[in-house]
Amino acid sequence: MEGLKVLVIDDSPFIFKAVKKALEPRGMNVIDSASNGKVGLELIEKYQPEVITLDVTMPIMNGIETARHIFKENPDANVIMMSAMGDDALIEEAKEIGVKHFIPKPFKADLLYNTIEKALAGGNNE
Amino acid sequence: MSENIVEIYGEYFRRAVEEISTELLDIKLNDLSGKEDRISIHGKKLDVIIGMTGDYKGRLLLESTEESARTITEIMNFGTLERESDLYLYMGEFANILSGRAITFINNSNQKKIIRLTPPAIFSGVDLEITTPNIEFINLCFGKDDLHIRLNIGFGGV
Amino acid sequence: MNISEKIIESCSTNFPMFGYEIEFLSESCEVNLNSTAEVNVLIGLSNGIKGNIVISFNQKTACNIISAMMGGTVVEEVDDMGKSALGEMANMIIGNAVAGLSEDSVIDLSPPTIATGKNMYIMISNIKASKIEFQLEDSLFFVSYALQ
Repeated sequence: MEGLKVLVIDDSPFIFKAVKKALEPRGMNVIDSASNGKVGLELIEKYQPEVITLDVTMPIMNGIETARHIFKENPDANVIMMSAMGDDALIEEAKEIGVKHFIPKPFKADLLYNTIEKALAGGNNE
Repeated sequence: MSENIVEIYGEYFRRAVEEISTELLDIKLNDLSGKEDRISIHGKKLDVIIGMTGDYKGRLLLESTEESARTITEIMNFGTLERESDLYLYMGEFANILSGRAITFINNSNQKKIIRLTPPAIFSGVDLEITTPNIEFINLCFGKDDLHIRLNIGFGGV
Repeated sequence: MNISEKIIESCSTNFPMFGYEIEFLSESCEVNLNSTAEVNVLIGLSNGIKGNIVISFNQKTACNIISAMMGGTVVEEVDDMGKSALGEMANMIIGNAVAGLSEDSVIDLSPPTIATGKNMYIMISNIKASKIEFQLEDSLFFVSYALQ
């Protein structure tokens, strides 16, 4: 997974730093971050990342809506959804759109890395 | 409003603080609730308010000094903050993650989404006083060395 | 009507009930961290639209409004009773302003919280907040909002 491009879509600068800290020592390239889904979609088109980490609650375009757009363009997109609120109703809505991978905030580096590995291998972490 | 709800749901917040401080900050905060004389939150304060709506209305008030806030946010930032506004941003995020965890416990215990959160609002100032009229509340205090925080969790009548 | 227009309309309709005519002065887009007045009333929104709205006054203006809400009683400081009155005022103004903003849901308001102090700064969103300035007699007050 050396050099894998990861895009962070999250309105928290802390999450961007945490993802970089978790993944860059393991050889991945956390290329950029977007603070809302609208900018996130633009950056996806620009960078063509292999993995996208996606927050649920964001201004302008939230994570659920963003995921809908992502999967419309690329049903096989590797999207890891992150939420501080892990309640079941939210996860169900995301699953219906096609999100297969969820991790809670705050996250452990190992969990994020392993979830990305699983996503790339075509599994899910339900 | 049953005082039991305030106490029961307050316990979920206590559990959330214990988990999040360990997971996010790698710090085991001592529970100093009921020992208010052992914590010091005076001078220039930085407070975060997160509203709660739904079946129960209320709010979380996270109180800290600017020094404690800086300690917490520098851990989250993996170093010194680049901008002063990051102090507010990161404390808002800390409170968001903490209350998100607590509300997850509450909603899952009810097997449905009974409480929703509003975005955090962060206030700082001298002689800062935060009041939410007509609520019943519980105070939870935590500290370790010079880091002290107080959570005031309040709910109003339905 | 957008949220700014609804806030202006709500203030213009409700403040005369407290005995004050107000005048809309300006709206600006602020950075997300702002210095703010001594008395602030915050209400959070969720369900349909998430965000925060804050009404900010100086001490004197807050006391005048509380006095008007309490039938003209002289009010020299913002005490607990006064904070409760300001909370009711905010509920009325913000409740009217957000009614009907979401087509799909009834927007839920959190209980009002009053923040007082000196040398205060406030951040109500990690994106830029909008600030509407009003004239009330010889002073100003502000309504700041940030909605997702």
